[in-house]
Amino acid sequence: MNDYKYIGKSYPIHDAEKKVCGETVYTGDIKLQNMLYARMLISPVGHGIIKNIDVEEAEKIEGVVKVFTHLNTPKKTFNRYRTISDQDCCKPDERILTDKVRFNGDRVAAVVARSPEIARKALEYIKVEYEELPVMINTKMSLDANASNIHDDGNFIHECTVDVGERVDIEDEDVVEIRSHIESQSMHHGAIETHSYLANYENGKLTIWTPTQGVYGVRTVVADLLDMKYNNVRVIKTLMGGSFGGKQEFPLEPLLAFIARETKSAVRLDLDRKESIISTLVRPENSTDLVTTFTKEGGFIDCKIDNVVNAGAYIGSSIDQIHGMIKKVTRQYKIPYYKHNAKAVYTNTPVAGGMRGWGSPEMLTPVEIHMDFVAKKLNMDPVEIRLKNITKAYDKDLASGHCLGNCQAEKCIRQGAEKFNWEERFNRETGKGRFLRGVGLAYGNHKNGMYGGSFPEYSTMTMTMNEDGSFDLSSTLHDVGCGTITSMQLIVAEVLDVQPQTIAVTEGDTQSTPYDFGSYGSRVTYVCGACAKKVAESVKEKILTAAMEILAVSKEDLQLRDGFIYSKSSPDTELSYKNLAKQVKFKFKENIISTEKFVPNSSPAVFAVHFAEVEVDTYTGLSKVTDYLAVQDIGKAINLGMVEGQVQGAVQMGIGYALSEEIKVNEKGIVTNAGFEKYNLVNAPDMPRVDVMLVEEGGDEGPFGAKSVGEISNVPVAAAVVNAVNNALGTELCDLPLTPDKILEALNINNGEI
Amino acid sequence: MDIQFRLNGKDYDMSIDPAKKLIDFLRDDLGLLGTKEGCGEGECGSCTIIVDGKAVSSCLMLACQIEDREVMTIEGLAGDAGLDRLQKSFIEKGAVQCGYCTSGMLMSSKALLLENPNPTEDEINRAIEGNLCRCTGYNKIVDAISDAAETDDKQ
Amino acid sequence: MSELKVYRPSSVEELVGKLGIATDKTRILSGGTDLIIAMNKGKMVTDMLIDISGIKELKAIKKENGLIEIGAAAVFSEICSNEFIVKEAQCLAEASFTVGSTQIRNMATLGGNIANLSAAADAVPALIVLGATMDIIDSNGETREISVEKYLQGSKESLLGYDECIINIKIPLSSENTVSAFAKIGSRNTVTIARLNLALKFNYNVEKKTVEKPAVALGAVGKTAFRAIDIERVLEGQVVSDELVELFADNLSKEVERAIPGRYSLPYKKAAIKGAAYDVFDKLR
Repeated sequence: MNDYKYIGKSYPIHDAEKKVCGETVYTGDIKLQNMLYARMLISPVGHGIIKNIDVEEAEKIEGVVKVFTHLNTPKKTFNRYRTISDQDCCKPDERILTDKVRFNGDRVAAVVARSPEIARKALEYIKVEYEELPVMINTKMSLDANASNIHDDGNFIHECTVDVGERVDIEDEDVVEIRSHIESQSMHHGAIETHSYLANYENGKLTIWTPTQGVYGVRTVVADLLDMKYNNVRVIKTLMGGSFGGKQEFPLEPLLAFIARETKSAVRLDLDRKESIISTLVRPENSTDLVTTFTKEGGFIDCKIDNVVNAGAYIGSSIDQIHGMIKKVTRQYKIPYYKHNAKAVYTNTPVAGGMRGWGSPEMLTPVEIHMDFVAKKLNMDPVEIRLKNITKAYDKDLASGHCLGNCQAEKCIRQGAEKFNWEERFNRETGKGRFLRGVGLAYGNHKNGMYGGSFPEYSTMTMTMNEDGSFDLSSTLHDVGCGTITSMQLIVAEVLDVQPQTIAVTEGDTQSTPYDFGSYGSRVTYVCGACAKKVAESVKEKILTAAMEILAVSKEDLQLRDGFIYSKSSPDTELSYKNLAKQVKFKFKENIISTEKFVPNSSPAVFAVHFAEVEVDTYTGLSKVTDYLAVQDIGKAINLGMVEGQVQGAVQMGIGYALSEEIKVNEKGIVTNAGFEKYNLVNAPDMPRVDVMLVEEGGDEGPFGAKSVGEISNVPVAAAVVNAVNNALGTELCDLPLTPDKILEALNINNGEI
Repeated sequence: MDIQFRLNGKDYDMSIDPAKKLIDFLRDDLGLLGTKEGCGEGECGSCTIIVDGKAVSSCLMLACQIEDREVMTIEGLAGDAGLDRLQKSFIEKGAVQCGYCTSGMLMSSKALLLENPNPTEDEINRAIEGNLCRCTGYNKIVDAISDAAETDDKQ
Repeated sequence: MSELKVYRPSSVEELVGKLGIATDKTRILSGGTDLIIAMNKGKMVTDMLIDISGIKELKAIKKENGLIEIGAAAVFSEICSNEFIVKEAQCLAEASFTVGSTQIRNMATLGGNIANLSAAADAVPALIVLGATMDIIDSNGETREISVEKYLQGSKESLLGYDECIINIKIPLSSENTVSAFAKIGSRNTVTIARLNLALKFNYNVEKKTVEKPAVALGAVGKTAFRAIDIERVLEGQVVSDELVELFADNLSKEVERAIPGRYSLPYKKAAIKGAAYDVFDKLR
């Protein structure tokens, strides 16, 4: 392994010092002169037609500037996920403000007022008459022949199928078939910062400040919807108090942009927690049927999967989600014959969207729970059955035909099992009495960027050297709070051998930073990081060329160290970056500036293998994760401390997915737990210590061999925890989350009490 | 209503709207934007401040309730000598990611150490049980608090 | 400026004065941990708040005249660490430590927990088994005493008038051999609304190792917490043993079934109460 100066060590996030002093400015902290405040009226019913809407009383209130409804906003529809101009999967089906409410949380009206209090008060004076319609709260109800249509063209959105490989000819008696039906729930992203947006309209130009993951996507959606030129809509990414995909799509920027343009003012829209839960996006609910056959020795013969995704009331990203879902499983298991059909269906529930792992947790959680059922049936160790079927480095994925790169599933499983002491812990006595302990593991994969899809997968960056020896890296990044900026600083610092703080890195601003479609798809370190490295190398070349001239030595004789250039042959000769930069600018009348584009030729698989131990209270049904090991196939960690932090955070979220977090919708379509009092995130006392183990084998196109971590670390968590609970109890629970109620019910059934 | 209070080491005598929520008073009237609102129901801890040495949720108090009391917000944690030991430790241990929970987390930690300079890991977890974080999984936050306590001990 | 009036009396005398101008929309503000949330959500329309959190005498915890007297505005973080309460009213200390989060315990008050009449109020089952009473003062400065148990049996409107305020809670000191414990089951281990609350108190006969004069109260099953007299009869005179705990658990399960027949949460609660039964005895052993 290379000995790096900066790469692989631990650094705090670039703005940590400001954050610990409370000095960082989030969108909700920004106040422009004469700024107005918007508030939304959201639907109190699950499904209905707005028969009548009367805003007269509300508009009379002093301080109210204007009230918007479907009557004075565009009829044109948009798709909140559309990132590029012509995106097939992004059928527009939602309006800025609706005339038909399709879920509890749908946007009915918006008040613009001089203070947030007045805006809130005015909402009470808007009179809306709804003609209520039958409510379909799950995909089964929506697909019923007699179901009422949520959209004009029905409730079925889209389906896709992959049917690959060949059936193996094998005698029936040598084959074991295992079936399961696994349900997973919708979930709130839970960024602690609630959603806030700010827009200003001045001299025909619209400026939007938003904590988004893709400024160019916001621009595209807003400009197209409002028929504006792209260069008249400027989108600036603001500091983000967490996203996890929750701020990836653009449900509300169009509304606020329109309001700002109509009122020719600066307007801020702050959502409260309830609105952040129900009126933005949620992790999709998914229902999966699996039928697999194996040889008695545990080798995969075939795998057939049918899953139905609850898209909620609007399409959003769900078509793209299901296209992604059918290409997950064959990246991690070698399956001779694989057939997968996925459907997306409308319901009267909050709109589904991407959430950390983007289809991978939704699809691989059921697969990994199922794999434990297979192991149990074949009387095999869960580690063994996986090792028998995993894909290997440089294998070709059956479904996509793409090369998996230098992925390290086997190493992750073997090294993790050893460190976790798996064999002994798995084969122990399960125990008797009130508290039972169990262990579980799960395996998952994710990607590194959008290579091979329809996205314009590349990144462009410009780097400039200033005459004091500092550097500016102009890039369209979106740090969601995970340390993206710091990673880029470290990558550049390693190339140029300078202190990371001397490199200023920009985030997305459509007016000034180069096109890059957004910070998602686990592409930031792999693609943008590689671009940062490339542009830094280009700048380094220019520094060396200039140094050659100034010092009158050959290029081979030069070396960079700590912001200085030295001559190897005459060690006393040194030239500081500052001195060099000055001479280049003022003597040579040149700039040291480079623009580079990086286009990846791969999106290798990245794996994670997680091991969990749980303790289940068989009297109360409460489960607690007591020990945890996360093994990550990371290629190379750029910032070790932040990598650990990412993984630990992902485990917190995954435990919630397994045990407690669930957006509950009653039969009328009303969300009954739209607040943290009833929607429980895992808090500190319930969080285990998470041991993070990295397998660093590099080998692909990422900077210094790095691969992704933020999303993949969330992929196997829920399955590992569920498998541990099933191991503890001897159950086959597969309806997430495993609440105390479900656990006690299962135990009572096992005991024959019900 | 006229009230007097002490905030971040300074005495104030102000006329206030008694029905205003404390968090709004701090943010809107005093411009102290470091205190964040994440839920409005005392469940997330982002708005935690210290009143008379105790961690409280500023979203559940009225501005008038700080009358004659001593208040500390995140802006008052660093002293003339620079950052508080907890702040340094949060930076060093990587306990900060998106930063939105950080102010409240630091206020809860500070209140803990004021009362209990040598907390156990369990006591730390209980002290921050009402502070939600979605980024870090708490491990590094607990380490940072524990480290700050130990460092204080040595000094 | 909003139209809402807020008064902050600094003594009980001043409080009485403010009660004199109270209307049926007036609310007493104590910890604010429920009231302010309701106001934030627009669920509470009020013309006037009387904030009692600044009245020092209502924050005191005293032990005198055979009683522990807790001011209505004493907060749970004080109660759960108060030495008299930890020693002589363990179940109340334990219950207080399970209220909300650290921040909530620093704000929420015992008086508020009772007055709010929440079915899941953590302190209430503990107060019931301890035989607690409280003093309520009205706008004439007159006080009346009522037991917590009795108070809960009434309806929201009839019991605490809008010109009345709870000023203290009194717990009779018990004999040396009295033990008590509290258990709570929520949706997670801490910072959770109770799905089940259970308090138990009895005199432990050291020689015979038996339960004497037991008191049992359940919370979060039904509208308000209540005393389970039938179960007390079952426990009376029994030797403390594993079998007794099992018997206790079975009877509690039946009691839950009687309290919330047909309720969606019944299957869970009648099973999970066993956990609470074991928890309280574990704490006593």
